[in-house]
Amino acid sequence: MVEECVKMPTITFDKKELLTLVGKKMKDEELENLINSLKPNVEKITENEVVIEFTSDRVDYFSIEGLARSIRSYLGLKNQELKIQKPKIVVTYESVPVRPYIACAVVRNLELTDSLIKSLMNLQEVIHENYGRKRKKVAIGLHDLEKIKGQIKYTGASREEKFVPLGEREEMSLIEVLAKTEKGKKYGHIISSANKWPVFVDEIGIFSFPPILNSDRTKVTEETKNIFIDITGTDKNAVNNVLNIFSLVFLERGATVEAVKIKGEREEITPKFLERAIEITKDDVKKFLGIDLDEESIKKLLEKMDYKVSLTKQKIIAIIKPYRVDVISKFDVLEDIAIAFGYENFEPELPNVFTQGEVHKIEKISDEVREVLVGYGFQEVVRPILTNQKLQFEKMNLKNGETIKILNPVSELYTELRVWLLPGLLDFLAKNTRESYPQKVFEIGDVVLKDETKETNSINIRKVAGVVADNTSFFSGVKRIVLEISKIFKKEVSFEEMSHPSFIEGRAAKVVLNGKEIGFIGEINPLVLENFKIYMPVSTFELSLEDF
Amino acid sequence: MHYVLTDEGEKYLEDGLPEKNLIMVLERRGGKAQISEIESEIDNFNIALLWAKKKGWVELKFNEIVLLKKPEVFPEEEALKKIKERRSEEVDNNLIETLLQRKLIEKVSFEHLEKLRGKEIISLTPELIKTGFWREVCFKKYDVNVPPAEIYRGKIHPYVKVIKEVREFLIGLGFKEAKGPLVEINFWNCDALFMPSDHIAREIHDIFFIEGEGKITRKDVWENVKKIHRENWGYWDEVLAKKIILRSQNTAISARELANAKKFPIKIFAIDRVFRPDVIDAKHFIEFEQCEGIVADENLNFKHLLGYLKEIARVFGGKEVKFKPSYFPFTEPSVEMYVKIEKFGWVEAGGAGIFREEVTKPLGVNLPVLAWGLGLGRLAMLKLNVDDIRYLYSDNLSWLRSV
Repeated sequence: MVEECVKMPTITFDKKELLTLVGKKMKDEELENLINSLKPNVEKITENEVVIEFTSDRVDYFSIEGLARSIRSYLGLKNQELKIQKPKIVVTYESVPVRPYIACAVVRNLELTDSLIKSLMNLQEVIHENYGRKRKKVAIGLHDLEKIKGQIKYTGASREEKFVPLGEREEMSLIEVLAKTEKGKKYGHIISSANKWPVFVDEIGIFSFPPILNSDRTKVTEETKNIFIDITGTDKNAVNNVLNIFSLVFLERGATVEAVKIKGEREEITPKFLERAIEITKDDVKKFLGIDLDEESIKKLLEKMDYKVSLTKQKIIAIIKPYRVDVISKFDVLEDIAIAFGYENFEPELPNVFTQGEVHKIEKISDEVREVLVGYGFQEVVRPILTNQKLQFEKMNLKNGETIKILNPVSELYTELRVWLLPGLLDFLAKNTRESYPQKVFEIGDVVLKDETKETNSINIRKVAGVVADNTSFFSGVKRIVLEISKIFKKEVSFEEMSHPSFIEGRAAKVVLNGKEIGFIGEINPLVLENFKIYMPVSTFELSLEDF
Repeated sequence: MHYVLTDEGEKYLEDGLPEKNLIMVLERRGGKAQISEIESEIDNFNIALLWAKKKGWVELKFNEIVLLKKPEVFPEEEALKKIKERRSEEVDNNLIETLLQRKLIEKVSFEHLEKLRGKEIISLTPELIKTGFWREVCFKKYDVNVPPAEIYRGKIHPYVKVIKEVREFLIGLGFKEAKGPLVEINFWNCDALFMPSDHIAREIHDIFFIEGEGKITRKDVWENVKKIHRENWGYWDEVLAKKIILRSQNTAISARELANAKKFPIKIFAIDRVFRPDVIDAKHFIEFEQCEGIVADENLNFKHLLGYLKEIARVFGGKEVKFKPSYFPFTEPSVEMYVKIEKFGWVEAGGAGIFREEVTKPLGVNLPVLAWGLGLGRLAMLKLNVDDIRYLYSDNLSWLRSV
């Protein structure tokens, strides 16, 4: 629930353009508060730009037009009705298994300004990357309708068929497009395994090769007045949703959006610009949001969020605009009521939920051990749980060991989960050889071991480990510490001689509790110290805390 | 020649000679006593009896000790006193011999100390004190302004301290601490939280994958989740759901706790490590702690969520809070909380929401569940006054010793 350590992607809008679309002058602070109360996080507002963090549920906010419409509505400014014209153009559809779903629309009477071109390109890119899952789920193509001749057809083409892709001068076969163009290399994998590749063709030939490239012939320019939109993808809802968002953008820009008839085995009209209705009651609002409002007030709040509302005797019927593709159930509508009411206007209330607080047993044990070690002058450290084979085994003078490995590591330092704490502590000592000695440090943390009997094939073990680096660091010192730790839990441990390549022969022992090995103590093998470049004797202990 | 008291000599000087103690006891008892009566009253009874007899002060009649005469003085005691006061030359040689024999004094030689006589020395030693030779030397003056050598005390890691503080605070609010596996099944980490199979936060850029397939022990929840995904998203990738991953959010623990809850109300929290692929720099690391909590009870509403958040915000030390709308795939409504902190201004403190029914119902929970997460790393960085997340997992001993 906390995204603090993850960088959120952002969208940048032209500030002047946004305010023009809203139709109201605003100071930066006012605009920032307004957008924040609508949900998106404003990252910054500069002289010319408004930068907002992604709000991945509200696809309409990916466009400046969609955000502007919501702001207008929230401010009570008038918004136009969203209406789609009847279809004039027919697209014939032949099934292409690798990309089965399409939706199309025609835009007429468009005034294609620089800012609109910029806005469209931005929106296309953001949807491709995010909602469209890097073009796999949804891809968008925009074409100059005047350059398309005759009957439009969506069909599967063989990889040898040719066209001139956007930005190229020469004809290329589809297979060449995949091999040679930047987009082909990036997105080719989406379709490359299929026999037939998806294309839109007209009388002249291929004019769109989704999800890779459009043709140069039908490219949109400043002179373009009418646009043909092709949306293709692998998820029917997503394809239709994206067309709804694009329809919203063009309608908001004052253009006419005209439906397209798609004729295949069945006939279908897109965009499916449908309004849905969700019913709620004032009791829902009271129960869920804790505010007591009458129907009329709820209606006003919903209208502020661009819903159409009709009231019946018992129910409030919220009509959802086609661009609100995020709304699933009445809880989404209730959230919109809360947003319109203003989060700042809710009176926080602490209910009386009586429960007994309780610390987890392993944390309690950990704290008690912590106290013992701090008493002995140890400094606590916190190390990553992720590590690598070299540190865990090779440097410890051991053969490679069994660990849980990451399939997609981001750094060679962090490729697997630690199975013991000691290597991390030696790594710590190695990084601090310039600091004064004695150095006594400890860590209390989890290691993860393979365990095929568990549902995740693994088990967390809480452990404590300590190292003493000093001229007078001996076996007996760490043995005393282990005895003191077991003493606080009133447990009696015993020691069994152990031969282990990480330790000096004859100076290491297993720590045994009730017949079970729970850890070890020992003096580190000078060979291991050399590997870490630690030029000071080190003795150590490591214990599982699970049995205390 | 010099003599000093042995430990036993010191003891006798302090507590009285055993034979003296015997005489005192006999005198108190009117001049005689059974051995068995007084044996335990006197330390070193046998020694006492031996010396008292030798001196002709007592005689033994069967088991009865009879006081013959009470001496005016106890010369050994006087001698011990003098030797202690370093006046051994005043003590009779025979007496010295006796005391040596009784191991109450020992000879010391000052020869090796002689070279120090009148000199300035640095360290006072046990020998100098015992022999009294410290009187013959003088001590070098210290420069009281010289900085002392560092002595590092043992310390809890500062980040662990912050975590402990938060833990205790939440326990104080009646929350019970839960744990979960670090290596998780995608199902509990994502699917049970209504995140669609193709959600962008589920890609290899956002989750670490582990080889193998998890075992689903809750077939009932599995079936419910399958149904809800198919109904709402149109599909569900079961293979993906079974994949083993590194836990990327502690909401996974909340999901497990809800599925296993038998009695309500519950208030549960977890503070534990999560993992996410990311660039590694001052603001980002690939593992970090998250603090998450849930409250489940009848009749909870949005105002109560804000009420808990306001209460929890106190752990940040902020006086004012503000809320704004937000988005999480598993909550609706969703909230972001900001706390006003002196010197820093408004700081993002955490995220929260009411779990969607699409989350709770498949887990078998039919009442509202408030869920929140706290920006633990940010809190710790504020409290420790550092601006680099790597300090929280610092391998810099110098810094750890200094804070």
